[in-house]
Amino acid sequence: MKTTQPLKTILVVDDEPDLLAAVSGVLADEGYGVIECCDHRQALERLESHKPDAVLLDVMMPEVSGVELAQKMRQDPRFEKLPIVIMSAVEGTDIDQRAFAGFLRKPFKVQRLLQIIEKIAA
Amino acid sequence: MSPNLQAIDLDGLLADMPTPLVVLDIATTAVVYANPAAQRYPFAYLQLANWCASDADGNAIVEEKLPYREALRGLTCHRRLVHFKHDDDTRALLFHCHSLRDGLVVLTFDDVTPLADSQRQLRDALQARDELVSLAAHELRSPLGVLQLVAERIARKAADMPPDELRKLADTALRQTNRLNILISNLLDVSRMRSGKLELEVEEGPLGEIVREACDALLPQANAAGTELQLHIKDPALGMWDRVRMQQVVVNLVSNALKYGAGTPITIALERPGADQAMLRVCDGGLGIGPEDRERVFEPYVRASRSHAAHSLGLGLFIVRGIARAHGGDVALDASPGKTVFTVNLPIRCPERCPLT
Repeated sequence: MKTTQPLKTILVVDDEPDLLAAVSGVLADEGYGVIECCDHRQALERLESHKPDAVLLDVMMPEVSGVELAQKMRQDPRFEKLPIVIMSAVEGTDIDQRAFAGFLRKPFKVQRLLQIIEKIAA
Repeated sequence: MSPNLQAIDLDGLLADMPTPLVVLDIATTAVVYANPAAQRYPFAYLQLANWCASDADGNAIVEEKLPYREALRGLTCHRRLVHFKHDDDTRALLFHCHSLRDGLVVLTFDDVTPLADSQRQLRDALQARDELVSLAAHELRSPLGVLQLVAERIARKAADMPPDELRKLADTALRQTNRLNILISNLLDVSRMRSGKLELEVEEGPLGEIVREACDALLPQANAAGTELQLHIKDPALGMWDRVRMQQVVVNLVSNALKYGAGTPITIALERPGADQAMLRVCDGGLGIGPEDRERVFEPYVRASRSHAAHSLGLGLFIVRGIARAHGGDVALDASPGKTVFTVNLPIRCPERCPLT
């Protein structure tokens, strides 16, 4: 009997609506479930009611950056092990990439995005 | 020694000499002589507790390593640069030190503070340029990031996509190319304004119509932000205006209010307080701008708030000021918590072409 794997769900956080929609569209095309969030508040709120398999975070966001949001999430035992991928357009960033499951430098290609997501949400 | 030289009043000559000169006695470590020029710089050859010294790289120099102390230990120097600092007074001195006979050393120095200041300014300008390149690269990458994904999605999935979805992707691509275009235009405008090469293409017409058109174009953006635009054109302000540039003034000020106004209604008012003066005011009820930032916000690459650090090069208000000044006017900011008002005062008449001054 053929069993169907449940869809993996990715929480995507970006304050740029067009990028949020573009990333979500790519993931949805491949069959992933996507939870779209435009800032840290929405992300933390959605994490209360959803259990994503991975999180994609933009770095430069209003009020609370992606790195700060990741730190907040890490402090909560429920999300301690949740794989987080960071997206950034900043050159020469001092982000410690080893602290994250993946790092995407904008602009990135669909293939690169899918490679990282497939690897961590497998 | 020639008779002529003997006839010279050496004391008088040293006293009149513009170069600071100090003679030190190695045995007693005393200052034997300091000419009047040197007496203006006692910190250069006396131990003064309230002065700090550093080298060209900013590393502190202890008293024992200062040129006059080393000279007393028989060490000579040539063109050694030392920075001295006391409260707000900073001096850069270039030292020369030679041994004389009978255990004496002569120390001369030049005050090169203006040269050091201009070097520092040049270094700061280079650093600012590097930061700009990095910032601009970041800002250009964001729309490119969207375009990359949108184009790839179309290339991969166009055959399976409903027309509505394709249309949405095309709209996204157009929005992002427009954003890239604005970013590049702003960068070029700043460059033109800094080099005084911004020229206006003025024509006679009502400023009120220009303001209304700009506000109409901003409506979708305002609606998306859930912000109401209230337009009050109390006078059409017929005059000589560069239509495109004046629209840019309105767009930049209203976009700024949309970003920082926290969703409060934005008032755009055009008045004519005098026969030869137009006054455009853009008012929002956002966080306001602290007194320390009120002049800074008109500088390029400055944003008033960290919370809006993303998606902006901080050029909008610099460009507004440049355009207002090119029209012979200026822009002022009046802000208090809960209220921010930008007022653009413009003379009604304007010469045909007015380069930015």
